[in-house]
Amino acid sequence: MRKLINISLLLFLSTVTFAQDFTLSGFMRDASTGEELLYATVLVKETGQGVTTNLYGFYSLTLPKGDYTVQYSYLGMTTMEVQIALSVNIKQDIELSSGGINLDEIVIKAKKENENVTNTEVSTVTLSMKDAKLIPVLLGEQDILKTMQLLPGVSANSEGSSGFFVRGGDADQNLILLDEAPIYNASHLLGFFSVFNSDALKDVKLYKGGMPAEYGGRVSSVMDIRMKNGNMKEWKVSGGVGLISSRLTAEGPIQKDKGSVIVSARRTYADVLARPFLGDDFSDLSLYFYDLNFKANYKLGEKDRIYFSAYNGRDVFGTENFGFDWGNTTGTFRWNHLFSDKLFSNTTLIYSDYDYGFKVQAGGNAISLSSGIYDYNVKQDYNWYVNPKNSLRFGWQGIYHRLKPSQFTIEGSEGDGETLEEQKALEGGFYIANEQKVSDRLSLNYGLRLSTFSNIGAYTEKTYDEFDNVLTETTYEDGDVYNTYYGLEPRLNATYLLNDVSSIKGSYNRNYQYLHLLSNSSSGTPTDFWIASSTLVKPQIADQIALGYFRNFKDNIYEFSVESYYKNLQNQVGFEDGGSAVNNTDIESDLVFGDGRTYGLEFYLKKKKGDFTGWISYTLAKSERQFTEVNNNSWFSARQDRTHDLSIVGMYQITPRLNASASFVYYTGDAVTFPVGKYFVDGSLVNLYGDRNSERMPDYHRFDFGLTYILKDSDKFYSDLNLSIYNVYNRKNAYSIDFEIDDNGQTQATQLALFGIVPSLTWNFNF
Amino acid sequence: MKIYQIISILVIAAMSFTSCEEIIELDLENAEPKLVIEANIDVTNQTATVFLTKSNGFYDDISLNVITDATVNLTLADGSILNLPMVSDGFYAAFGINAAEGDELVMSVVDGDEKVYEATENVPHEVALDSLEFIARTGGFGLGGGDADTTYQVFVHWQDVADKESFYRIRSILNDTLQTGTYSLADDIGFDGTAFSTPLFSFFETGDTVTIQILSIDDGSFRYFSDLSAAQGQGFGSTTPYNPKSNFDNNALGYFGISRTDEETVIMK
Repeated sequence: MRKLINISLLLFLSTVTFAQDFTLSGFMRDASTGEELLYATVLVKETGQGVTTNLYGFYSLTLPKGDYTVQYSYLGMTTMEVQIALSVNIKQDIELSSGGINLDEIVIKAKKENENVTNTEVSTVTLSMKDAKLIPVLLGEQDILKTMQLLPGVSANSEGSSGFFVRGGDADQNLILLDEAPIYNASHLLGFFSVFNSDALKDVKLYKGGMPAEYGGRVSSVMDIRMKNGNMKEWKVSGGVGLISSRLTAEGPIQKDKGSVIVSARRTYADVLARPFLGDDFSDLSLYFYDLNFKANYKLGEKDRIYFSAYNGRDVFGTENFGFDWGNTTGTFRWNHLFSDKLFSNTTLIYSDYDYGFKVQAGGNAISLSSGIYDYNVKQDYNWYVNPKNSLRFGWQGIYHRLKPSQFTIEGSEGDGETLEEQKALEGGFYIANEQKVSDRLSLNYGLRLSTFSNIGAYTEKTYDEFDNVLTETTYEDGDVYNTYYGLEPRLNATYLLNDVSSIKGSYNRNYQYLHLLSNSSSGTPTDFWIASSTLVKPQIADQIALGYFRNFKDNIYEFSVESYYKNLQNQVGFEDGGSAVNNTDIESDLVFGDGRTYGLEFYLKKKKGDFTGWISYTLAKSERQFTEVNNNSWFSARQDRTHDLSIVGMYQITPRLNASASFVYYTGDAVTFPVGKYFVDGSLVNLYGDRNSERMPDYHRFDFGLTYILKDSDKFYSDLNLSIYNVYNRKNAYSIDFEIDDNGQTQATQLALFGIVPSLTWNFNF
Repeated sequence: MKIYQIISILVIAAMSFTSCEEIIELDLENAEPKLVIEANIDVTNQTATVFLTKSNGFYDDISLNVITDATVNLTLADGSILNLPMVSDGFYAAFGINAAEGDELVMSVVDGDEKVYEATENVPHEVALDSLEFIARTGGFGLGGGDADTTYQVFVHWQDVADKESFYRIRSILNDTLQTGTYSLADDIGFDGTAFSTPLFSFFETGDTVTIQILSIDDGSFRYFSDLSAAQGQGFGSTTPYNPKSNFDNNALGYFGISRTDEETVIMK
């Protein structure tokens, strides 16, 4: 054992630098706004070694003493070359600009554009805010979640919903982070808009697999969304006025190049416009949502920087007698600290909550139902740039969860309703990971995460018999820590370069998930609620392997990839036949537990340059579940099983002022349970249902079109007009199908479609 | 102001193109017809009745497909087997049955293809209807009040038998017609030995002849009717549709129920 440790230490040390080395480090920023550039590249021309900037724009390269030509590059910006004479530790901050092209730089730019082939990110999608703006979306809103659904491996929830499924996983298996704060419900207005106002965002990364070890808590994906810091150089205002909603963003320096602030707001006013036309019944109809994003940051010195970000959003829907509202609130406080040129640290404190309330005035009684989840989170992350071949990341995280599954009260009557006990839990994570350039061709990103989860009292845990009657009850006092789960999560990504333009990538990861979303209806609604793992409800575990081939063509004009994956899911939570989530104090008795498996093949072809750009994405996949108590223990299709999922997106610059974009989507309908007959029991006619999810909704397809015309583009003022048409050929895609047996005993299937053709006009500006 | 109005009209016009309901033809595979067994043993009146039908296809009409070639047998607690002959189309019955509380009875149906379906239940305890309470509601408000000014809602009172698992069902017969479609069910978990009082959710008018039946039933058919009631009443809070779990094996539909009854008949004044 001792010999083994000595050898490993020796091997590790042999890659560690000697005292003759010096460090080149600093931050990379956008010259016009001062925004840090994330995942930008720093490359040493002479040795071919390089590193990417971290989530805060920081990079660090330790090299032997000498003279070097260092290239700093970022997609869409002019690469900068700097001659460095490295004989002491050098602090070099760089600002890149996007204007002014000259011949030499085009060549350099092209070389760095094979990032998708060379980086160690597997099964990852990075969304540039520029792309998202040119895609026609429902009602003219630019929406990152909607854009994600156009990419391979990501499928949409029912029509109009911005909830999504990644590689056949469930809707609660996606970790959505806004500046590190988890967002539990990213949908507005029954899913037609997401809560993300693109004007406030800088960078979005979706990990469909190959999640780095610093992320944990959900088994299917991680969507890491980073807000803009705010323009460090000058004050800017931008916004848009549309038919259904409007938005406004203001950003600027608190102190030039030292601190900045950004505020974004968005609101719909569908109710204000609709009210005059809906008559007296709806004279007090409220139907609106709003989003508020705020972020401020300040550099305390050369080594320290603090940030504060906050988000608050709410959906309100109701009349005098009926009300329904829900929303998220998050607050993140961060402190970046540079311990040395090689060691970067970030400490974060996060608060996040999601809650909803439902109120009905019936006769003299007010009935209300509410639920919420509240998180308090502390974490620390370290980047240690050991040498050009090894970048170590390690850190820890602790989240205190408070879950209020459901509180049901009736005012003004004798019964005082039911309240499910509040659940409290502590979720922890510790990780260590390394990004290593093993050879010229092989790069690895590997790590290990240890996650823990404990329930905290006061709480009464129950067990049930097969008829859902309570068998035993165990009571825990306030503050008791019980029922601790541990999970060891290995993560491994590997990239092997076949040549300059193609590579093979593979990954394996294991993920644990300790919170579960219970959904009542067959499509997600805001009344779904979260529960914590317990003695009965075990943590979900996913094991995923993925293998892909990446190739760029014609000087990086075309990007192509094909990727296959297999995901094995354990301890999936479902409802037994007839189980219900509404107002159920013994909800755990209605749950069944089983397995899942999903696998598929993803194709992606993208044209990145030229007047015409766009992509085709196609996924062939299968997603199945198995529960002992359901469907006679045979595997059945998950509701979101999409055999075929095709998206074709195109953007064409017709003239320098006029840009057109179009998208076509086609996918297999949801797997559903339909009646296959009918029979009489006790004098009533009853539907006879077939096997679980053995039937399909009709296939879904839709074509959207958009035009953007630049009205004015000067130094001081920019404005454009956007026309979006959703569902151009007015196809009535089925949202739900109901079966009714009429008085003559004839069974009728009635289909409800939500949206036909919807045009929308938006005027955008910034100054 | 004018532009604002124009924009509003545009929005409403835009939204009015949207969302619609239409009747569609679905290409559904018709399932093989399944056997539906409605088997009831009324211990108080000493009768056993079994009604056998086959399910209809999705787009078929609703004529009853009765089964006339089955063999129905009831095994009593002492092991003796009683055959139920067919007395009319699909209807098999026997009378004069003697069974006591706690007896285990086995109902067996063998269809024309020699397939055997069996269910086993125990005879429940007796039940006594204490009283019926009628609350008059004037004005025709409420659920299903009809055109008459005064309607009556019935509250049924009875005493639960202590120290025994009890399952109850209430039925009403209005002017000689058995009311179907809704199920009034109760069990005694948490309320063992207490006095029960349940309202019926049908309303009666002056001049109606109403018979209220209270049945003490076995747990198998209680769970079946609970499932059936929940499956039919799907609305807000509905989950995936399913078939109620029968206490017969071999994937038969329907149920086997054993009951003890008590009833009272009233004419509304």
